[in-house]
Amino acid sequence: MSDPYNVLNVPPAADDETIRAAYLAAIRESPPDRDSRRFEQIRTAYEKIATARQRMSFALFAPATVSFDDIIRSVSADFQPRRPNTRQILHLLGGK
Amino acid sequence: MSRRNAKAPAKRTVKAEIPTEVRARQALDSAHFRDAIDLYKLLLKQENRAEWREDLALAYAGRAKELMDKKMFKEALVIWRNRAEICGKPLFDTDYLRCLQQTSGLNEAIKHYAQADLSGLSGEALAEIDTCLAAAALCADEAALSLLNGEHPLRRHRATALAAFDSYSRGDFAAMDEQLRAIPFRSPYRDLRPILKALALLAASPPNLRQAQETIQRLAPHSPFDKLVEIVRIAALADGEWLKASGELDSDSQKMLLDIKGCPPERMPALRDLAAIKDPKDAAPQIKALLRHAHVLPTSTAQWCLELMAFAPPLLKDYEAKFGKITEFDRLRLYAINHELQDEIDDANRYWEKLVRQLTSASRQHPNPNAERQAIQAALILRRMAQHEEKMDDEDRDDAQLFKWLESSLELDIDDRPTYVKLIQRYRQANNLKQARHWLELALARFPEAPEILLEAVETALASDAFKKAVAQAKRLLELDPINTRVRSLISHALLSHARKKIRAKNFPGAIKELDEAEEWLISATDRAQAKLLHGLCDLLDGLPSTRLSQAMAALGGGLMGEFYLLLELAHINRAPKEVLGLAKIKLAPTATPQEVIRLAQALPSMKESGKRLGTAFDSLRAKLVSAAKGDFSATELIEICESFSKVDAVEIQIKFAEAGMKRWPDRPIFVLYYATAKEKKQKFLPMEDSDAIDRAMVLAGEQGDRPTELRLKELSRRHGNPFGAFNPFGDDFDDDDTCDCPDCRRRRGEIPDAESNVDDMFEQPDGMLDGEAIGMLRAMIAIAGPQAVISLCETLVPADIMKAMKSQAKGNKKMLAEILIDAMEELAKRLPPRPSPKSRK
Repeated sequence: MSDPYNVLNVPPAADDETIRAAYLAAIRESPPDRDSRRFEQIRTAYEKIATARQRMSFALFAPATVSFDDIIRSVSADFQPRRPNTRQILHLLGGK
Repeated sequence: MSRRNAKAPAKRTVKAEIPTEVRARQALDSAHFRDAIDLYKLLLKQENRAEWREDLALAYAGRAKELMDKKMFKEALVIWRNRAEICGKPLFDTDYLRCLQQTSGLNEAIKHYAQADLSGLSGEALAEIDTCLAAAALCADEAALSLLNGEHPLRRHRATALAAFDSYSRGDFAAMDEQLRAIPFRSPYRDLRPILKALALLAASPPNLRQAQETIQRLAPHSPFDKLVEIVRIAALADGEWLKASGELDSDSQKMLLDIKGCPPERMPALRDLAAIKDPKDAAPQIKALLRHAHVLPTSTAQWCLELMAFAPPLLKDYEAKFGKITEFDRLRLYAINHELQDEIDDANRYWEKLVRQLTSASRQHPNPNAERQAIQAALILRRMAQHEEKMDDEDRDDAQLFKWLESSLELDIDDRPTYVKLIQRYRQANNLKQARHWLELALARFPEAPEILLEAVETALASDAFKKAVAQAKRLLELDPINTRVRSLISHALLSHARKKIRAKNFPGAIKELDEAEEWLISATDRAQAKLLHGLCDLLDGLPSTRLSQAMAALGGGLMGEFYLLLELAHINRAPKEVLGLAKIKLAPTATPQEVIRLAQALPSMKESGKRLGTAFDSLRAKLVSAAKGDFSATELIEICESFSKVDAVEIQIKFAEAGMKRWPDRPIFVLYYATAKEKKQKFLPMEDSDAIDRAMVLAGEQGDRPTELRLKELSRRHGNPFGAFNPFGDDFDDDDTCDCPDCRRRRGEIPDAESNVDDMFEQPDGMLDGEAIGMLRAMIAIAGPQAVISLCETLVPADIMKAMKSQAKGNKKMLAEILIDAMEELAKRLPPRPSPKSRK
């Protein structure tokens, strides 16, 4: 299950107004005639967290909002890309 | 003579009949290279034919590549050498060099190459070999390289390629670009241009993944730097995809990938463990990996683990050992969700109920800033449980519990309109109009102008035959929502119903007044014609001369349609058709044409009528409709007719039309479905020939790919068919229940009612019914088809009262119920006499 907060790109503490604004912006960016799958995803996400009660319900009953991708994304969020040196590359290619 | 020796001559005879040349060709064509090599070598011993030599070379190459695929490079090397020696093919080609690099190392490969006689190779083949050796040449030592000519392509741009690597490592991308530009397009090192450019894009902050991906994709397949290409390709994947894909890499490549991505060394083992997870939907290995490496992972790890814990509660102990005890709220919630995920609703509810008690009690403590939130949470849980209950089959649903949960939820969260609506609707459906009105009053007091509540007020008034009240509420609703067509329709129907009520009370002027008022609300032509029909009936019953009745019947379609509407209205006003038809001098036509039947079938689904009155109307038309089934209908028309009549429970008529379909289109399983579903409504147990027809039609539907029909027939078969289908463990004569006098068979034939069932009946089942094989199969069914399959099967064998007791013992746990049932059956089996053989039974 995709996390509705991620889909709408809002923080978990967002209020009704913020969520509605994010929803409207998202459907403007992905209207149903352009990307119906994405539109459906946005709509479903909004219906899950549009009101305080829905958010409370989502928090209570959603089995898990975290996906494997979310975990990997978070685990690697602070990575600083590095450049291996020539020796390491040649070693990989079979050099001693 | 041994068995093996006895068979051998026959085998030889068969093979001897096929010429060796043909067998060799067949072996080569079917990629049996080892056989092909043997056979071609045999042929070449007989005669040195050029084409056989060519074919032998092909067989050698095929075999060598097979071995290379299995990483058996040493063995492959021998094959390549044999090929060169026996078939006169050049030894040095890219595959041979790959084997050489794998077995002797890069330096040796370069040395072999430098010293080889390559005079027979074309310029193109030489260039290909140079490219293949590019990675080896980059890594080889000076001693090996010195064997190559100073102007050899592998030496000419080697220094530039290495300098480009150095520039990349330093982050001097301008120098790197310049060095890469100096490597010509035909150089064996040309692939380094896109590879290093992609690596530079990955080193940017933030990394330019998309462009890196596009750059690396430009490379032709089979680069000499494939190992590096694969790493760059995976590093350029988005989100978590790169880590999932890294599972395919060897340890060195994985380490370089993590380096390029910038993974801190201490976190690498965690990433490697996560990469090794085969199924990203399986939470347990994820939790285990996160817990194992929690000390090097971000602090949010605890929260992720807790979220995933609903999928694997046994790991909760490990979680608590690492992160400390979780709250009772979290614990109850996790277990409840875990049971929900496994469809163990009763178990889930036990945890939810505990959580409701906890939240309710906490919400009542003072001072408590979270009181409101806790009360709403408890209410939400109660509604969740009610939702689960609503999804139950009618027979399993506990309506009292459902109402209790919904009502309790409103005590905690008084402002939830949808719950009021649900309660009112549910009470109305349960014919508890007193409670429906009670909750309606509460809802109206709280939300006097809420359209959905006012709509319920209209519906509830209609259900209570309070037509005036319904109209008043509907008008109020229409003021708030003027374009609500549903309300207009409700008003008009309320007025028509009121008019009927007055006709029943012989208050004809009053009825006409209602009909006049209804006039302004009626929307469809059918509604208007129905009002006119009622007006005509008023005139007729009041002794007034009128043509309204016949005009209305004509407006409603005339013929069968007109008659049907008239009969329906007569059922509404409790008048016998014979009396009114006599008064109106109307004679029903003795037959109906196929077109009339089709029109009626098309009109039925949109009618709001149902139940008794519809049945009364059909009673008068049954003979005519049953005989119309013999008419000339297409398969599609018959399906439409069966579907319509199935929706209004016109069982006899549906059976006749389905039978007509079965007779004319025996290969259309849908007619068996309509026939059996109608028959099922008429009699609880279907005769064996019907069960067999269901099973046959189910197989046919499966073969035809008609999945919906197949599934519906499967469900019917479950209730009425042979429970074990083709794998009947009870023997063939189990089906002989036409003559069997055991209680179960008599019950199947409807000779004894269910109430006579008792546990002793189970001892009088046909002998062998509960043998070890059957018990074993039932146990296997739990694993294969799930506990519900066993429960469904046992429901056909175990008396209802025993079943109920067992259900209560299992407390809603389906697996437990299935096991209780099997244990009981096994216990009974022990008490049965041993099963006689089928022969002795006959």
